[in-house]
Amino acid sequence: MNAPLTSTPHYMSRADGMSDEYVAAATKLVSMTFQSLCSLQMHVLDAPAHRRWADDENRIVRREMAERLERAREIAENLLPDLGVEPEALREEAEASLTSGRKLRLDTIQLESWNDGLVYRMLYGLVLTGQLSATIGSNYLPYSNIAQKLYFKHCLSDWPGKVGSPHLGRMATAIEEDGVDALQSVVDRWWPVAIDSFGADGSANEKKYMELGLKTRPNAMCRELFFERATATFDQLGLKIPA
Amino acid sequence: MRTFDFVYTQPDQLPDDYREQLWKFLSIQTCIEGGMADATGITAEGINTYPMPAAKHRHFMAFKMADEADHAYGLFQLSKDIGKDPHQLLHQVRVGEIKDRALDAFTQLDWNSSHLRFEVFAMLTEAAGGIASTSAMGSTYVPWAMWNARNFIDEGLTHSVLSMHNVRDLVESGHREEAQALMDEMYPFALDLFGAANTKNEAAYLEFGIKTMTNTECRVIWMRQMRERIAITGLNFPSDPYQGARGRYDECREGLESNWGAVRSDHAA
Repeated sequence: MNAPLTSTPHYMSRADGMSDEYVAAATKLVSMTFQSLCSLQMHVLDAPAHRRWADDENRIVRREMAERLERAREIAENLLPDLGVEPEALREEAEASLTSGRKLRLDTIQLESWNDGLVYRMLYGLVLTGQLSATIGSNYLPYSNIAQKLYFKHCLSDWPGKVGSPHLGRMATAIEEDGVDALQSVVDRWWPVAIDSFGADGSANEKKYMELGLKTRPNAMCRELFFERATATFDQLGLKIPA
Repeated sequence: MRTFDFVYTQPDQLPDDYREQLWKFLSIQTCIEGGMADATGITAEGINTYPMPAAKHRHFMAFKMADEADHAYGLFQLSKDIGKDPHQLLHQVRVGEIKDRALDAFTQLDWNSSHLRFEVFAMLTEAAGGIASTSAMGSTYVPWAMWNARNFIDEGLTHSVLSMHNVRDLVESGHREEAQALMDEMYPFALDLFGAANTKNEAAYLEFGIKTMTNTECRVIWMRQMRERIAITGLNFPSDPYQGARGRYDECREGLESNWGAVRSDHAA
């Protein structure tokens, strides 16, 4: 086994003695999470009316949207004010257009069909499986709670132990109804964006976040987890990882 | 908090020695969440049939019981995933074949015969459960981290905070003396909950990354949190906060007296 790498305290708020450097780094990280969650990208989704599952799936996707905004509300009410940031300006910037503000790359793509949305939701969960593995144990506890709730929703097929896509069943149905090639072409389109959703290895930001305890795993390990879960998920569905 | 350069997301990735060490932790936690221990062994948590002052207290209790059942479900799933049988363990504890899984706080205190007793007990022990969980939210086994994340949200940020408010209400409505006596009686048992310092098991948990903080680090965070929360209730923090029922924890003095590892209570209040 490897030796522990760092040791840092925990913070519930600024009053717990965060350094200025910590507040600045936390503000950067939290603001990006907030703006990603404020993306209106999924709001255009509407299930094809002729499908028997359309009403159920519309209900489910709207619940997903509402829960993402609930996480955004928690950040706006509990985290950003504590860090000295006014959330409304960030929200307005994030809502201005898909690409405005600082967002996860995957949260900036234009969804043009139900299958676009379905593949996006699966890839989003897989990206989060990697990315959130760095923040579910963050020493900024209110932020780790946001990451944990997102992980519960998007990265587990069953709490607590089944790490895997919750969209496996609906992806299988889509492949059965529309054919594997139709879904593979959507995967091929969004895959490069999913990979780009991870930060650069060894960047100054990564080093800072790790040193401060805001993140507990480097980008390379997060990306590796994404590949591992994506490979397992695609194998189950008969999809291929794009070259 | 410590970080590690390895991580597992699936049970079949776990090395055998990791699996055995994790089971040590899970087996104790299963006995707590799977049914609170009493003097005879284990009994179902939820025997809180004393009259409650208001519907909101019963409502809280019902939700707390539902949360505890979820916690037990999660532990059972984690145990089964690594090839262990939690039901067999609970059976062995209940029939007396295993006697060392129950924690003193649950076996030696009368904690659920009155509203005041329960709320003082829950304010102390649920916070301890929450803080203990923060030490595993960055665990190298992600499913275990996910269990602890839920436990922290439920016990650390919800149950313990609601109980703190309930204790404050009771203090303000004329039960100060009785509440203080219960606080003085129960605090040392809650202080013990984190386990002894520098044990062989603790070292193993940290080496594997099953936990990311020592028992002492967790105990200090809890003591700081309790000092704030007890003040909110209007009661007095113990004059000798390092004295547990099982022994002394003077190694926590530096952490409590400096500003190290603080976790404030007002975020969730």
